[in-house]
Amino acid sequence: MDERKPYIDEIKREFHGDVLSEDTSTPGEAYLTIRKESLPRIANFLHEVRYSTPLLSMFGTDERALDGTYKVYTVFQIPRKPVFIILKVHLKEGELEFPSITPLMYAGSPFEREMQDMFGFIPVGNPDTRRMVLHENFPRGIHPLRKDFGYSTTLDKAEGQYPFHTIEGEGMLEVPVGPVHAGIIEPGHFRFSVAGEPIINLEIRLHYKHKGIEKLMETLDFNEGCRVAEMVSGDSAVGHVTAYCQAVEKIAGIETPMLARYNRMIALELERLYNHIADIGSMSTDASFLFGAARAGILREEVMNLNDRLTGSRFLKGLVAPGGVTRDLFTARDDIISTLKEVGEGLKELVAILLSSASFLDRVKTTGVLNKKTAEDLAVTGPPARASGIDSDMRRDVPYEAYGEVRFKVPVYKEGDVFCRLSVRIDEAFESISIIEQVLKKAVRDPIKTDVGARHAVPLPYRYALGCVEGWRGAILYWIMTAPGDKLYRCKIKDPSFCNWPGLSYAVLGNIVPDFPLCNKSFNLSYAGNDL
Amino acid sequence: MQKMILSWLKGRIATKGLKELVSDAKLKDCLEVVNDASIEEFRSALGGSRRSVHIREVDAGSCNACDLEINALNNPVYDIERFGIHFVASPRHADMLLVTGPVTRNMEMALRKTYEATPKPRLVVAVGGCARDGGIFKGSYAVVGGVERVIPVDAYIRGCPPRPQELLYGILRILGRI
Repeated sequence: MDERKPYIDEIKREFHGDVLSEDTSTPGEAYLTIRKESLPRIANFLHEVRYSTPLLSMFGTDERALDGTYKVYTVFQIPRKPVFIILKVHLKEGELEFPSITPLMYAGSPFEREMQDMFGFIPVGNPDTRRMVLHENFPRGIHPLRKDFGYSTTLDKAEGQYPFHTIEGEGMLEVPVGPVHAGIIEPGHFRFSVAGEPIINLEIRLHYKHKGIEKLMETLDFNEGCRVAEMVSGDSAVGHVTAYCQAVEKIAGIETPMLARYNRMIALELERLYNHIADIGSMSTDASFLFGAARAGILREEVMNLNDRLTGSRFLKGLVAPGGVTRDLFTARDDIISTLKEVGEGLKELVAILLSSASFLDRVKTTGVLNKKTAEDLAVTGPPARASGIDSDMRRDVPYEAYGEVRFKVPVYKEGDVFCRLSVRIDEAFESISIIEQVLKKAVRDPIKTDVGARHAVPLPYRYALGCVEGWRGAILYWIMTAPGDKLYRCKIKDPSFCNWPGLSYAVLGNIVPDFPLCNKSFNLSYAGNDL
Repeated sequence: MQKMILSWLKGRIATKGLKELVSDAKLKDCLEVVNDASIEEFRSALGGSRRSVHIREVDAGSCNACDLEINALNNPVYDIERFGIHFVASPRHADMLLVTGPVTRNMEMALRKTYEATPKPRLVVAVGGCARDGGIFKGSYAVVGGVERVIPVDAYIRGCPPRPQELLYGILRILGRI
């Protein structure tokens, strides 16, 4: 039986007359075209009333060339089910207002502000109408993702001041930080409002790194797009490119060979491993436990060098391609097993030392608490979600590649503090090693790639599909729509950081400013992936 | 715990020797010096090749891979601090700026202000393919272009991203240490 059917039927029953049409041509995805006015009600029904399903993504498209309308897509996933419900709203030229979902679900706000900048849509009812992606230097009235805006448009320079929220009162102080930070990290602006030591409010302003990646994608064909996907966030290269390729393969109707799937899993888990080790190290740094940082640095380096030996890239770039992978990691099976054995032992020692250090535990426990309700409302994903008691992991819930064939534990903690986020990362690092070992035991004689080239299985134009991967930061989502000639018509990228940044600004409340780096590192979010 | 530490002390040293790190002949391809005069001036102002140097890293729009590799210079394997090279928190303390990424419109002003806050003599080293000319993002409506479009650049370290060895080689070479 089609797993999507009961959900579609229920929505149609509940909102009789609001659902105009349905499209179930892409497996696992149900597109419901609904009346514009009913968007907040149906979204709230899915999110809060019935399924407490998280908002995964929300984006606009300019489909004027097809049917004369713009569209707003709102993507939900039924918890623990491989079912995506996508609400589709048509916006006619000149009537770009749509009812905001933000008053009912806060997670919608950043998505709506993004659409407001990139398409000029007007989310009626969103209390925050400030510009977000396009800073003051961009002239007003430009909307880069509209089709009549060229990728290489030269723009004038405008000026202005961003209206930050201000907290007023006796003894209130503002501490502005960034965009150029103290450490070797990416740019972003943090504005703390403090009363004495505790943080009363943190406003995070991002998009300093906005490079127009989604617009760039629209100028490329799907083979070129795969190299750009690797450059969305360098430390999540494999996660992004795999999600991208999944979407392309779904559209082209291609089954990737098993060997390619196993290879992708190895790469995805290696990526999770080196990043989690790095995070364990940087949390030690920010708790001033430099010994831990040094040990983690050495372990991470061993994984990076393994990546280099396997693929010629320390970030595993160039491995995943539409249709499969470009080389077979199984040929280096012994190297992978022996390196990971060493890394696993080193990590076990490091964890034993970290968890027996009273001064370290004192810093991480009860620091930066993100409670479960807030995390749900903000659609937080990945380790911060699991540390706050949300039991979700795309690898288990939507078993892509061959994750259905391996056994692994999804660690879930309740308290939502830095220690829980650290613990999730520690557990997952060991699970990653175990997954790679399980995969390497499989014996398959498959080709590593199916051809998705122009002459074979050509994806039809104006077809669309989602690609979804549990990256090490959380759910990475790609939505791709094809154009004639293998080109991409639209590519919406959602890095987990996009929804997790607001989570950070809530987790730090009541903490002291010197604990901010520690809280920040426990989330370790991507600026590049957020800013696009 | 004592046992563990003792076993580490007896084990191999993680830090790689300079010779091992920079012996690869191919490394010299990663460095492109464009302003010999300013580097010469910088070295003579420093008064000897063994003086310490402070670096401020500025990410002007990278995908973060370059920054992670720069960060790796601080780990015990590469341990750049042993050469007296420190990464500092403020441009006011810096002798050299390491700039990554195609400069985005949104970062242009921040990069310029960081440069102006750096006392002379100062060197600017652009790291990675994007910082050279915008790389894959060249021509975007949101990107200004390579670093030289905003501030004068003295040398480039190539790569996407350059490996830590390449960064180390480039920096030491610019300083006349190797």
